[in-house]
Amino acid sequence: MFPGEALDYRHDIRLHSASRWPTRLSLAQFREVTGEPAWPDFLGPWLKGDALEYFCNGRLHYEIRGIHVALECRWDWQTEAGDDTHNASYRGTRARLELRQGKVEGYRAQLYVVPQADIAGALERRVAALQAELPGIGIDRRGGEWQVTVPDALRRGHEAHFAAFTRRFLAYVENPQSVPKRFRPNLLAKYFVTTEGVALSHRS
Amino acid sequence: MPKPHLVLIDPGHFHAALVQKEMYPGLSPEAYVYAPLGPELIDYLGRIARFNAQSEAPTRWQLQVQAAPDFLARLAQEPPGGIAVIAGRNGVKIERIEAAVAAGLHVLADKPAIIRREDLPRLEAVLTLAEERGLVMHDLMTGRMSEISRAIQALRNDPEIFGEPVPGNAAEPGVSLSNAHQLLKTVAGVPNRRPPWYFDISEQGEGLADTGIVSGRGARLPA
Repeated sequence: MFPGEALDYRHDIRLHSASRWPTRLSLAQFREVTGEPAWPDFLGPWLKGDALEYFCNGRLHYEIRGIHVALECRWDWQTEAGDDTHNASYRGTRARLELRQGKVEGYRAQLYVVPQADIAGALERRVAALQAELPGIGIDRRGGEWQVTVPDALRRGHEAHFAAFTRRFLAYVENPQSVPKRFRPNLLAKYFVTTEGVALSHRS
Repeated sequence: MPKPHLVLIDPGHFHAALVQKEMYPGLSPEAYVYAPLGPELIDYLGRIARFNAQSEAPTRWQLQVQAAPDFLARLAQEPPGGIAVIAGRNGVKIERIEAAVAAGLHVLADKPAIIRREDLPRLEAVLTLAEERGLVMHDLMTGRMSEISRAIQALRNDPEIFGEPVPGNAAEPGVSLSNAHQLLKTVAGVPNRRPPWYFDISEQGEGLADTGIVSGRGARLPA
C-alpha cells in the first residue's frame, strides 16, 4: 500500500467501525472436522441450542494515512468455490486494481486493471518489463478493462509458497542486517489493526 | 559453522509441516521437535513422513522429538542459532515466540502472531529483544510470494498506471479486502482435521484477528 515505507501504528491508523458474527456448526459437522465425539467442555460458553456459535466472521472499516480500508473476513463450513477465496480492490487516480476470485473466474484468482485514465501504453510497458520476473504474464483487453493473464506455469499454488517464503527467511537469518527496517513497524501496524479491530467489534 | 536446524514448537497447524515440504541447502536435515504427546504431534509426524516418502523430490528430514508436557521448559536447553517454527495455537503463540527468542532462536511464526490487543506490547518487546540479539523474527506471510501479489505490487508501484491512491470514504473505500475461508478442506491430498481448540475463539482468535491477517493470493492488509 505504501511501498517501502514504515508505518507508525500510533499515528498512521484510525479505526472507525467493526462488527462480528458467528458461523453456526452442528455437532455432526464438528465431529467430521475434528474427529471428536462430543462438544468439549471449553466450548460450553459458545453452545446455543444444539449448535456452536463460532465467532469467526468480522468486518472492519479503518483509515491508514487517510486511505479508507474495508476488510471482511468470513469462515463458512464449505464455500461454493471449494477452497478459500480472496477479493481485493485498490483504487488509484489512474486505475483500479482488482483481485477477483468469483464464479466468473471459476474461483481462480485473477487480476484486473480498470482504467480511470489513458494507461494503455504504460500498462504494456510495465507488463513487458515484468517478463523477467514473471515469464509469460500478459494482458487481455476485455470490454472496458484488462485482465492480467498469469500462465499456469507461474501459479505454483499455496503450498509451494511456504517453501518460497522459507527460502527468503533463511536469507535473512544468514544476514540479519538485510532485513528491511520497515518490517518491524509494519508488522506491529498490521497486528494493531487486527487486534484493535476485534476489540472495537466487541464494543459495537 | 554447522548449518542451522529447524526447531518445531508444538506443531498444531499443518502450516508447520508445509515449511518442510522441501529441503533447503542452507539448513540441516535434522530438525528438533518440542511438543506435548498428542494427536497434533502425530498428525505433524505423519505429514513429514509422507514428505519423506513422496515420489517427486522426497525430503530427507530426520526428527529429534521431545514429546513431553514440559516441552517449553525443555526448549531452554536448545543451543542458540536454530530457527523456531511456530504454527498452532494462536492464543499462546506469543509465549512460544518469547521462549524461542529467550533460547536464542530465530523465529518463523505462522500468522497470526497475536490475537489480543493486550499482547501488542509483548510483541513489540520480543521484536526489540530479537533485534538486540541479532535474531530474525517474522510471521509466515506466504501470500507475499504469490505471483498475483507480485503483479499487483508492480502495477501499484507504477505511477503511470496506478496514479495516486484514492482515499475514498466509508461508503466507497480506497481499499476493499475480503476473504472467505472454508472450515472443511483437504490439504496435500488428505482431509484436514482441525483440533477442537480451533473452535475456541480465545485460542484461535476471532475472524478479524485470525484471517484478517490476510495471507492469500495477493489480497494484503495495507500495513
